[in-house]
Amino acid sequence: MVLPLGISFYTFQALSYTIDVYRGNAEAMANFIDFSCFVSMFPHLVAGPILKFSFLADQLKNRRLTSDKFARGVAFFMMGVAKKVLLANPCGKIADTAFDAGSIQTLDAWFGSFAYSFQIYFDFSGYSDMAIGLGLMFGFVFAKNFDSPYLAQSITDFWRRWHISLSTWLREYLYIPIGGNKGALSRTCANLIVTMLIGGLWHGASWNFVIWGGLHGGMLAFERSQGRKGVYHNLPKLVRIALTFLIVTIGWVFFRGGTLRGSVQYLGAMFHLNQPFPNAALIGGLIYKPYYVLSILTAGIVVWFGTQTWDWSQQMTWPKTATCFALGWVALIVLATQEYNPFIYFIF
Amino acid sequence: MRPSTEYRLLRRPTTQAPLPKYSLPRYADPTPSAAHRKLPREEEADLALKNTKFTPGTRQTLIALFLLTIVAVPLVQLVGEFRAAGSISRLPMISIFKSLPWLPHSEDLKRVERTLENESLVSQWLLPRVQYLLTVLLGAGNEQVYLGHDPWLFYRADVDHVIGPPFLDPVRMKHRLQASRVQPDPIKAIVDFRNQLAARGIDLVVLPVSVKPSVEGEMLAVSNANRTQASGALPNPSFNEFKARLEREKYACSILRGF
Repeated sequence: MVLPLGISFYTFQALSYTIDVYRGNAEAMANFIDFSCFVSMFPHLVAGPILKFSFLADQLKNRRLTSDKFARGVAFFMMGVAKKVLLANPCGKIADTAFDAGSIQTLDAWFGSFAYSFQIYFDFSGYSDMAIGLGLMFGFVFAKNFDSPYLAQSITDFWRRWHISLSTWLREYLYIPIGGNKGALSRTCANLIVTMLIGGLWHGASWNFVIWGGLHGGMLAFERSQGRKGVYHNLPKLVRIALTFLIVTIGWVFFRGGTLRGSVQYLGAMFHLNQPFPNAALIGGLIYKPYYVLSILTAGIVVWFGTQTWDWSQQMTWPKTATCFALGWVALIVLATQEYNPFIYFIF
Repeated sequence: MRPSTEYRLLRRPTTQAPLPKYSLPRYADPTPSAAHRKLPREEEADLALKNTKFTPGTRQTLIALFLLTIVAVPLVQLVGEFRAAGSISRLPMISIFKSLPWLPHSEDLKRVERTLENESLVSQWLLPRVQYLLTVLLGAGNEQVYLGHDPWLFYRADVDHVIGPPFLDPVRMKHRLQASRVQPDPIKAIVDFRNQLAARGIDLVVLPVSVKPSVEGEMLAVSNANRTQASGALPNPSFNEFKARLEREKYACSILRGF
């Protein structure tokens, strides 16, 4: 079936408008052009962030376009392009080789799954940076969508940092209406699982996304049942971060796997439960190339030790301006040599 | 001088973010890295994005370089084409757009886009140089080729076929059918083709040939153990079944390097 680009984001935007107006959180728009502008605002249209109507309603009518905003938007945009082309795309090549293989050796499978974790983060946060940058160039302010998610110390913490516009949307318009935490602990846990299952299904009608949502919902419910300090609290911070990253990475296997059987086989390879085909011996020669190893190391450094674009671009100095354009131009030059490289979230 | 309220709000946190209070974040919650500001995410964004500090001159440079980035490629193209053609009306870039119908279809737009890419002077200058860097220095290969040792080149489609899932796997064939709406089983397709030719009095001889990476795999593998493993024949897992089924269909099959 042919569907318009970003259909689910359109739907979220329209729902946000309808519910906010129904609840009295915002006034209905009298001008259809303003409404269309809200629903189909191109900078964030195809892959988010999802904007809450009540936040944007005022900006649609009263906003100021300043050179400060435009210049900051440029910095965001160039860094977003660099994230996508210089980090997400090479990590994506590793992940594609690993996940599309018929069978794979254990070490290669882990390398491929870490590569996908980095790919999806830099792809999506790169897009969000570009959307925020483009928005700023037109005078709009969009809220942060990612906040160093791989520094999360629990799955609950992860969902405060990953695709924040989706997690807040799910809470506001789904979790709370179905009961939220108003009830026994078991009911709250069930609500969390249902919310995340539906959140998973939003990504696509496939068992893979249901399992991915179920895994996250189950972990949220489990952590909720353990109380505020949680089961990891006595572990060192580094272990908490590593453990959370590991759980998230395992979840991404279902997200990327394509089919349930493929995902289970891939997980089997990661935990050395399958005997790989002899031709899996070739995969190492394709993914441990200097370019890919360099990309994944840089991605790891940026993820765990880097500064977010928001903080980095808060004070624009000459060296930062030079870095911004050096990275952006290199990214555009590399992009010119590549074929079509869509963003992962374009399909949702 | 006492720092302003806004500046104090924008300072980096000195303490660790508090433990999450809710399982899913509220709109009123600050982001974890800005928890010290105690501002909703949207107000935090408003504050952060409207209070950028620029070293004198950087703001104008950012804007100017961005606009230059947008216009540079078409400008180079126009100047390059004008020098060659000598007249604006004969510029290839203009004629590419002139070839578009009034109501272009997606195919028309794709054709124009592809032509612009192919004719781009900047792209023609950049492509070999960037590919040299990526391939020779960083070993990345390109969209068509994987780089092996010494340096051997392997056609990407061949390698993907060899390391890919068994091509006769029923689940894979079902997906292939859904994706391309063609006969997904190569044996059935070959038999059908044979029958069509036979109706015209023509014999079909099929020669299954193993691709380069399946016979020269050691030139791709990295570790010694993998090179040893790859020094033998490494066909796609379905290749032997494919050959056996072809033989059952009474075809003349030549066999290469142990296949």
